[in-house]
Amino acid sequence: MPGYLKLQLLAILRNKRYLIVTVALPLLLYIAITLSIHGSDSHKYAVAYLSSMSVFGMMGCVLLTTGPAIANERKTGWLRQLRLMPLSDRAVFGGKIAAAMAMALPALIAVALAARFVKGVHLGTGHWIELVLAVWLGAIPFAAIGVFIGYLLDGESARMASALLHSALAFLGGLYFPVTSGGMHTVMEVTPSYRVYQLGSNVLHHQSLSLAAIGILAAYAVAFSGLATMRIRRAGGLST
Amino acid sequence: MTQTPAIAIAGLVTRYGDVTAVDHVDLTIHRGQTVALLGPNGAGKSTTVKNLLGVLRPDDGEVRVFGQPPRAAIRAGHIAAMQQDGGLMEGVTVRELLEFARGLYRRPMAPDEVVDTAGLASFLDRRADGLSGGQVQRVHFALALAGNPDILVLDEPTAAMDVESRRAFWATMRGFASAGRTILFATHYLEEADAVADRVIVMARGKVVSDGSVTALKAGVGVRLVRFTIGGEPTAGLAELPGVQSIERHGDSIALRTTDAEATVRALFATRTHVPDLEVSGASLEEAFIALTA
Repeated sequence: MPGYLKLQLLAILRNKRYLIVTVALPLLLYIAITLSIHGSDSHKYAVAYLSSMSVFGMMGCVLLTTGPAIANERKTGWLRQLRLMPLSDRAVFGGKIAAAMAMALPALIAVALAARFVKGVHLGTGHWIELVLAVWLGAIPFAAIGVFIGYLLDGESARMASALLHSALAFLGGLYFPVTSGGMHTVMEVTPSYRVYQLGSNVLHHQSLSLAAIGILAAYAVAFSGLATMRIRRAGGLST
Repeated sequence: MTQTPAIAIAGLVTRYGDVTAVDHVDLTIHRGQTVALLGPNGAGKSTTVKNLLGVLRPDDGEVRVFGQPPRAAIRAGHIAAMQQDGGLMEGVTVRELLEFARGLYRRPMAPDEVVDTAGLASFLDRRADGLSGGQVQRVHFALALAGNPDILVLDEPTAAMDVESRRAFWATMRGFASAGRTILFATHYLEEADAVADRVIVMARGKVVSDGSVTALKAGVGVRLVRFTIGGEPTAGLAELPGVQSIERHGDSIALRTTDAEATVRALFATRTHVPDLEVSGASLEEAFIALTA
């Protein structure tokens, strides 16, 4: 598995298009949104959007790349080649999750750096690390969802579904603007995007982490890991 | 010999719903043989291969590779399959792919040996997603070699190749086999089985219908061809001669397919004064194959 992970990391680091789109987008969005707000509220929003844009960027990095990349590897036959090698289904799943997690990290760090050096948000070093770590660990359920999509849908469908899901989760999770109305609020509370945002906010405001958030995120992670592993097993038996 | 067979398949059964794709197949293959698994589409070749690689689990029977279950044998590097089509991972070099593949085994083949055997030297540092079809195939071969396998399994290896690449491919395979290793390949190309294999196992409708050397296979069918020049004469009565199964006319020449060449020729001379350009030959592999699988 370490070998497979290393191989995936090499490929990710060489993918310049990935770096540009998934890192630059949340970064520019964060800077644009917070620069457009002036006056006494400016600093408050710089902090508020730090958490939401971190989650937005993390989701994009994970969802927009994981599913489509796996669908592509199924199409080219590379995953069939892996089936012929002594690599278990679990190792393939683990490698894909780890790669998705690696994808998430650069955007998180980029947004944090922008908040610190462009917007002058001051947190202690340990506090910054806690924030990045909380949102990064919150990426696990999204990684599992991405792997599931990659094994469920082919090429263009996987791309479309990932993009739709990314936008929908950003919107429903209240990452673009706060959701206050009743019905929407109920929906928001079950989205994994809101729950990661909540963990980020907890860290930012020195609160203890919401157990409900951790529980819901864990439930998503377990459910989609199960579904993804089932698909991986099926794909192996049918296509090799 | 009492050594553990390279491949031992006993009573193998695979069903897809109501269809029995492999129907009680028994096979023993010893080290160092190059074996062709020959048969028309749907004969059960690929299904047998999938069982051998542990991709499918038998509905009944047992598959052992050097005495081990298939997946364990793959992990131990005893057996490897070469993928025939499809691409490679994107964004990494051939060298990195090779390093990854070798890292999966406890006793991998030395890097230089893989590179030499598969002929990778000229594009080792190229990106795996920018290679030509022939180069991709060499990388597939290299990935199969990584664990230093004793048995190499190929499913329809040359289906998508032109004549030239087919020749080059088998030249490489002969190099691999000459080191005392075993090759099992499924094919529906008769000439290929004839040219490459020491042993041809013919499958039809999920069963093994013939197993032996190519010569034995041709002889075992017992079909001979009796040819002569008939010119414009009528062919009436020829099909009724002793032993004759069928007749085929190609212009001036006629071929009688017979199970008793001697009786057929005797009867020919009894009924005709001239039998110009008479020739008796063994059936081609193709004819043997048709007789077996029809």
